[in-house]
Amino acid sequence: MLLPTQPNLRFLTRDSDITGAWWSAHSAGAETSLGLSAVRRYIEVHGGTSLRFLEPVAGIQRIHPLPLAFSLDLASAADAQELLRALREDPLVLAADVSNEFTFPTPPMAIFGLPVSPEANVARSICRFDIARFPVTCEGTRIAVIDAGEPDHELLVGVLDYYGMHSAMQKQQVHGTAVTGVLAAKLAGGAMVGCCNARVAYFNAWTDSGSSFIFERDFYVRALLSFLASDMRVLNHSLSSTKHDDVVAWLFGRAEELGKVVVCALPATRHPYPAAFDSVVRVGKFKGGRTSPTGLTASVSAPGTGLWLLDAEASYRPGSGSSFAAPAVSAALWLAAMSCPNFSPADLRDMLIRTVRGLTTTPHSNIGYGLLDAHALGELVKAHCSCR
Amino acid sequence: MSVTLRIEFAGLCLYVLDKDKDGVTQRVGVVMPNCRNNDNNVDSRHADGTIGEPHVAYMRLDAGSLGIGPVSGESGDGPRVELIHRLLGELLLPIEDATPREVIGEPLVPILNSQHGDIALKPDLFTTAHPDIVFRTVLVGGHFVAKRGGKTWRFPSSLRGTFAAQTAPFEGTVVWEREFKSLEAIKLTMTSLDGTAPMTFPDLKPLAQHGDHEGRSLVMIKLANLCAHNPIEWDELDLRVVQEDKDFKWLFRLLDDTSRIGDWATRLDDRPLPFPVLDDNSMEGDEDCTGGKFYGSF
Repeated sequence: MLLPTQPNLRFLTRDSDITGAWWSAHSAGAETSLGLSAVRRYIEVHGGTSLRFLEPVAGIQRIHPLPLAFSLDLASAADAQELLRALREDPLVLAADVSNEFTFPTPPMAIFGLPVSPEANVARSICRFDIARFPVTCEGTRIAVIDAGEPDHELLVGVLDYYGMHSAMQKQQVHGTAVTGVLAAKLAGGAMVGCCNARVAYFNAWTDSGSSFIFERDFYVRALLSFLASDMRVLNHSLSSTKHDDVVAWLFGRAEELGKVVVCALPATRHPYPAAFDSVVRVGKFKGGRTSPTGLTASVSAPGTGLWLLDAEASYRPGSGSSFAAPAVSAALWLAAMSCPNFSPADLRDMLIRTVRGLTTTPHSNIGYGLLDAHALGELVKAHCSCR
Repeated sequence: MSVTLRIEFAGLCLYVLDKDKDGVTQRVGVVMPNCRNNDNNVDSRHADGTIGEPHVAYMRLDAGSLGIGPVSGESGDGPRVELIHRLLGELLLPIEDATPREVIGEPLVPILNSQHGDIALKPDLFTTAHPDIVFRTVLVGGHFVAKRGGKTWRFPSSLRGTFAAQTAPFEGTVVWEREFKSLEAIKLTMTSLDGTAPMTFPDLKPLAQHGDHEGRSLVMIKLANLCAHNPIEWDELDLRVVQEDKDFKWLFRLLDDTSRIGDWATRLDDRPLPFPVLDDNSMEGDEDCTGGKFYGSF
């Protein structure tokens, strides 16, 4: 029996696959309770409750074609706390509260990092990140990022440790902001809206003169050394060079020996290094990718076209590039490495490739062996981990 | 009631920033050089003797905004049905006195002003049917939206040190936005370059799918001057990827050398016209072929 003044629990989900399935069923008149087990159990126990899709803040529907916000009628106020706790612990739920005044997080970037087009969204739903699938045991270890610019965005507050020059010009170069956002952006409350919940050690390899950017090879080498000397397992790398550098090549070799994985964006330029080094995971764009002018072949691919990216001055923009596909793979490998520290870089690369969608016997130049499937990777890690 | 016009400029455009004595940008003129094939006015041979690739200038409209096509997909996708209007004329944007005239921000593209002040805009680019241009428009108010996250380009110091060398993630597309508080739709008028034969397009209305995360009502158009290889930039066709943006040389058609050395060819002294080159160390991105900017009144 529902109460006369019915309490109401509202929540925002982050997984478009689940909400998409709910929406399809709902549109067809079928009953469904999302893939959230706590919600399903609650509805099974309390027959009179109902789950409704909410029109959230104005922007969210415009950016994303799928509903993400839901309202669940509760049988009693006393039920709320237990359900609320369960929902808040669910990695698929961004925010939840029991109130008719519930305010959705602003900006509504639950969908941050998701492609904007329905077509690309299909790819995203395959390449989903459900960290519950990964038995992560050592979340404290960071991901290393070597990139350009000084990230400065409200969704990156508390996410990264910045090593590099501070200047107005560095803040205008938003490449690193966008890359780090795809990798690990978080809402103010801590909800994960990037691909993983890693903390990032961010190395800016560039300085500036106030009017021009300057690549600092010494900074770059020191960043690589810092990565090697740390307990970090994964480096995300979107910088490419025309010239082979013996020192850099040696450092990349050492990374492999030290159990570390380097993920590089497949070059869209004729700059082959360091993507050409052995043992590097090269990431192409799943849609709209092109053969690299370097002649290099992708190892795997991830969504990299029509993505919403973090931009300067706390804003967002649609953008494309293999630079923004690579962080999805870095995040998946970080989750795998954190879940099972015993895996070697070769193990991680092998599992990454074995679990892609559309696995082919020979890699396609643009998309490699197939599309990253973080879900399947998590399952394989769980099945083969001998740590526990 | 308000509508925001978002214009995406792509390819060969010269942005002329007209600043007052306080450094405030009062207006920005955008001109596209005439790089058309089969145009008797166009000599495809640049001042340094190299041959320029032909380009086509066009305006892309969303048929959905005109109410004659399906509404578009998401704002990052572009129109579902795109209407292409080849450009030869001047685009007049709506006028609204209530909003500030200052243009905030600047495109991040190579600066073409000389350190010595010995390069000027060709006269009459903004007032006559100048044979060296196919298109012009003037932006008042609004702001440029930074898109500075891609490849790293180096624009060399050349022409006997005329330009300061610049290394930056130059923008392949430049986005300008302005909100019109008293309008519900955007009315665009195109005239000939001599100011005659005005042609007014049907009202462009915002589409729900064009709203951004701030919930604004957006009308989006694209103004492009792109190489004939794949000017519509369809993903299904090969998009040119360049290490050297030699198309940039076309922009020098819009400038005058006032150094008394002579014409460009004399001044170059067998050196090539300068153009952006991908830096030896670059971030990855999809950007190619940039415009240029010039500080000056017009």
